[in-house]
Amino acid sequence: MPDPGVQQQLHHLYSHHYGWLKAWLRKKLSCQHTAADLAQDTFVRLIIADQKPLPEQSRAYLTQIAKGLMIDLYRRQRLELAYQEWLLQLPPVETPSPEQQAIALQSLIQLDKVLDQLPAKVRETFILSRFEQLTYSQIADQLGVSVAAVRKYMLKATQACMELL
Amino acid sequence: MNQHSTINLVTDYARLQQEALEWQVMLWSGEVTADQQHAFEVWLSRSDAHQQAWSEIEVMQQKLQLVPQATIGLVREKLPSAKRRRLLQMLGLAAVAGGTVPVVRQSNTWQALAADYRTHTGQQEKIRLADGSQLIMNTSTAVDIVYSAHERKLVLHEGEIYINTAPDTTQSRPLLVQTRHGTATALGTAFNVRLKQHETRVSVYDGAVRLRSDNGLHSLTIASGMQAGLLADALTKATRNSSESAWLDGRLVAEQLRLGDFLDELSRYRMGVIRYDQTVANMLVSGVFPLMDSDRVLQSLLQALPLRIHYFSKYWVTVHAA
Repeated sequence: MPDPGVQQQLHHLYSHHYGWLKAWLRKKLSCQHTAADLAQDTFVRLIIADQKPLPEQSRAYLTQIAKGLMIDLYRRQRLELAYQEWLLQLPPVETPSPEQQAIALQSLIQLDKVLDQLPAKVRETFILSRFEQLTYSQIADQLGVSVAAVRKYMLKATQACMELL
Repeated sequence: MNQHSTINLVTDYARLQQEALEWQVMLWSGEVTADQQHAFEVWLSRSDAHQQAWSEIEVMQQKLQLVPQATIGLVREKLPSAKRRRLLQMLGLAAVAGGTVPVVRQSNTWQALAADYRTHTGQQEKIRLADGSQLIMNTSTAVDIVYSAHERKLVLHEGEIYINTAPDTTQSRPLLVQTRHGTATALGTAFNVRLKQHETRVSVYDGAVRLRSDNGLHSLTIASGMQAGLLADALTKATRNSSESAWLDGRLVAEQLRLGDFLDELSRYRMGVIRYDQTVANMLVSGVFPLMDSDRVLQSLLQALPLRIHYFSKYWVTVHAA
């Protein structure tokens, strides 16, 4: 439970800026329901975060979070669409069940986040190995690094997958 | 156990997890020698803890395998990630962003994938069991058939089934359906079992069925024409059947049903997702609809209610107020 001071501060932020933030998001998104959802999520993030903004920076801070959430949403929607497109091409008998689809999509979104946090070479190494079936020697050749480096990158990426996937 | 050895166990297990990770990276190299393969198998067979650590790796690996290669192009694209990373750091949220609840542990999904019989979305199937009983599976259903010397057990992992039991002439073994909420034992019967998130709904059409909650503390016998909900630690009161078995005729029957519930029901039979705004969820729907033609059902809703339906793709539909 947050202490009363923090709670009061959140209440203040919410009552003074929620409506404004929703209107701001709506202008950006042109869909009022998504705007309402994102405005809500923005405050959820704010509650989770340790730091709270200074009063004069409140709106800048909230829009900063909201922009990040819009990027996430945009990215998630693109992944979701790519996944749906892929499903469309499958013969009906191979279509996974809704549960499988949900897990796959969730895994895709998480993988995107995981790889996003890794250095470019680590990310590329992992994709070449796991999705293009290259051997470590082939990856080493392609990226111009040693096989030992490839192994090290793979360890790092796999570790990140274990933590977040 | 004293505190010291507990700490040792924890650090030992963390070491095993690290070793499992290193084995996985080695096995992924595409250049594994027979010696390496053998060494791994020796490592794996050392203890239960080794196998436990390895099974964690396997869960991750299975998730990775579900990601289609065709979607990786997008993942590769490094869109505004630097920006996002800065933002996350600023908020101290990096851990939260990845900390969503893993889908796998919420349900019996992995068991469902491996079940004896399963139907996909929009598919129904009739199966004649070894003892002559008839099993009809509704959309997205997974069932294991476990017949033994003393019972005939159907384990329902997800979905909905209708059973018309045949008497077990030779051994008189009871027939029962088990879900994560408990068991329903047939007493000479036709009945419907639907596994939902929080309960298992059992409707009886002939004879009677005895329900027993998973914790074994509650039981109830329901007669023909009645239904009740089975929860892990409780049972709901028996009520009269309404149209629970309409799916057997390919119909979806709505009597003053909330649109939100109606769309949830419809989406069971439809690939992809149907989303709706909360503003339309409380509108009421009545009618008899063809289950297997959900596109037509959606179109007919447009004529009856002030709605707007938006198709992102065939598999992604949202319903808004007009």
